[in-house]
Amino acid sequence: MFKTIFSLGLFLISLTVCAGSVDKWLDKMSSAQSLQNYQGTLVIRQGDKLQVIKVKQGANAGESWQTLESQTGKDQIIFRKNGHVTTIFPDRKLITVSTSKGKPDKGPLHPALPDNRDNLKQHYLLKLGSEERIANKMTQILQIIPRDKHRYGYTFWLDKQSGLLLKCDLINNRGRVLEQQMYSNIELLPMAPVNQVDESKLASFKKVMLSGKTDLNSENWLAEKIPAGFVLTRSVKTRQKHPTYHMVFSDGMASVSVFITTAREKQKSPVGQSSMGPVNAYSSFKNDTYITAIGEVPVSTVRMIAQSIHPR
Amino acid sequence: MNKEQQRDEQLSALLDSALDKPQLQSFTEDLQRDPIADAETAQRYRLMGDAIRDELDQSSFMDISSAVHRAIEQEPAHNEAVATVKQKTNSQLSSLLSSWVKPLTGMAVAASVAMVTLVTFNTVQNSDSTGQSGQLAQFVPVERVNTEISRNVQVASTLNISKNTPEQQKQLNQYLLQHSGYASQSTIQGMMPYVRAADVKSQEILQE
Repeated sequence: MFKTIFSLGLFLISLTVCAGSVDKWLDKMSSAQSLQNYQGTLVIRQGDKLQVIKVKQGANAGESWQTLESQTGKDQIIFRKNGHVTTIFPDRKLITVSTSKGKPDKGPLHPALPDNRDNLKQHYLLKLGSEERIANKMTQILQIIPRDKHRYGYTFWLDKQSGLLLKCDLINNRGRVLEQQMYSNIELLPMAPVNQVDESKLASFKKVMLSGKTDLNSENWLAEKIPAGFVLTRSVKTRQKHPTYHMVFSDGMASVSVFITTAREKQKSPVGQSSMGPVNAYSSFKNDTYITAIGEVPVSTVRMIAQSIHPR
Repeated sequence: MNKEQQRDEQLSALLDSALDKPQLQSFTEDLQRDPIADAETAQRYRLMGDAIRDELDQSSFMDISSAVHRAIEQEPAHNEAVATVKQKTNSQLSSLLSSWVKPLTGMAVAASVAMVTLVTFNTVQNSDSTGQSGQLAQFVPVERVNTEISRNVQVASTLNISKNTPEQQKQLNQYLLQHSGYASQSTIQGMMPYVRAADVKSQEILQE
């Protein structure tokens, strides 16, 4: 009897210690992603397709910025600062801008963390794995396993020294890797790297806003079926040829966007399911309303959400 | 119940993790005797399971040729042939032809299976569960999805599966870009979602 109680006690203690360790690593990752200065080369693999991107991050006085410069395919630079994501096309002297107005910018991590960490744990099992060497650095593996079929799993490789996310695998419900993102080299810097994006030069570029400034009254539309844990994090009216309402649902790891528009010509609009790497989309018409749900979740999830959108 | 039915049941149980140790041992021995048939059967069961659970997606159709390829590589006849080729002189190669017949037959099976896979993928993708006029919506040509298919079967990579019209493609790319911009700011992954869309031809947006 005593032996059983003792074993149970040891088990509970080990669980607590493990949970504490996971939280410690989440804290470390959160801190590194917003405060660490670094530059490196990120390789992304989706199927047989490879992309290479140069990444830089600088942090000054609690404010951070990132640049991502494509090394393959079309020449483009993505610059993120203060909640604005700017994509620059140097050869065309054009820039597009997405904004996150309405939410304070707390760096690249989930703005709700760590407040939402308990919510995250309700829908994912977080556990530490072994150690591995990535980009010439020792990393701690963190497995994020979904507790249901509505979302994908993740494996993170976190730099033991800084806590930076050096490799990320996106894994489907059958345990297959859908996408890998990994730094092939990374350099931690004592101060911010030189930002090659000269913002003053961008003044002469043509600017296109991808996201609208008008907040949508989210009570106009309702998603009747969304997986547990997903909450509406954003709801805006976008500036496009056809007025479109854009709602974003997130569980802290994955996110699903729902686009709702009217007056689209049916023959010109894709209907049914689509995919690009790990991102799935599902589109359908409801009378004259065209609805598309898109996100890095299983196709059954985007279909369920898209089909459940109704006007209130 | 004949041997084949029995093996099918075992395979189904294996996929449900319901085989005990002796059964697993027996099944493994059986698998070694006829790996190609089992690779196909396993894929069939998984496909059926995915369909029943309403979880059909691209990956449901992607593993047949790779499973067959792996099965062929594990086949003793194949390994023996590979090992023997290293040792034999050119004059002895003709006698080896017979030992290559089985693997080559296996490759042919893989080719035909992969062809069926692609055709099936297209058919299923076209069927819209809502009953509305379904139209295949793909960002990426099918032949780029599965490295195993393109590696094993050249003919598969030349198939031209129906694609979105440029108008539809533009619409989906636009949604993807907008989604990624927001997702990068509302998930734990930071910039990762935006990086994912970096290759999308966002210039198309400017034509709106």
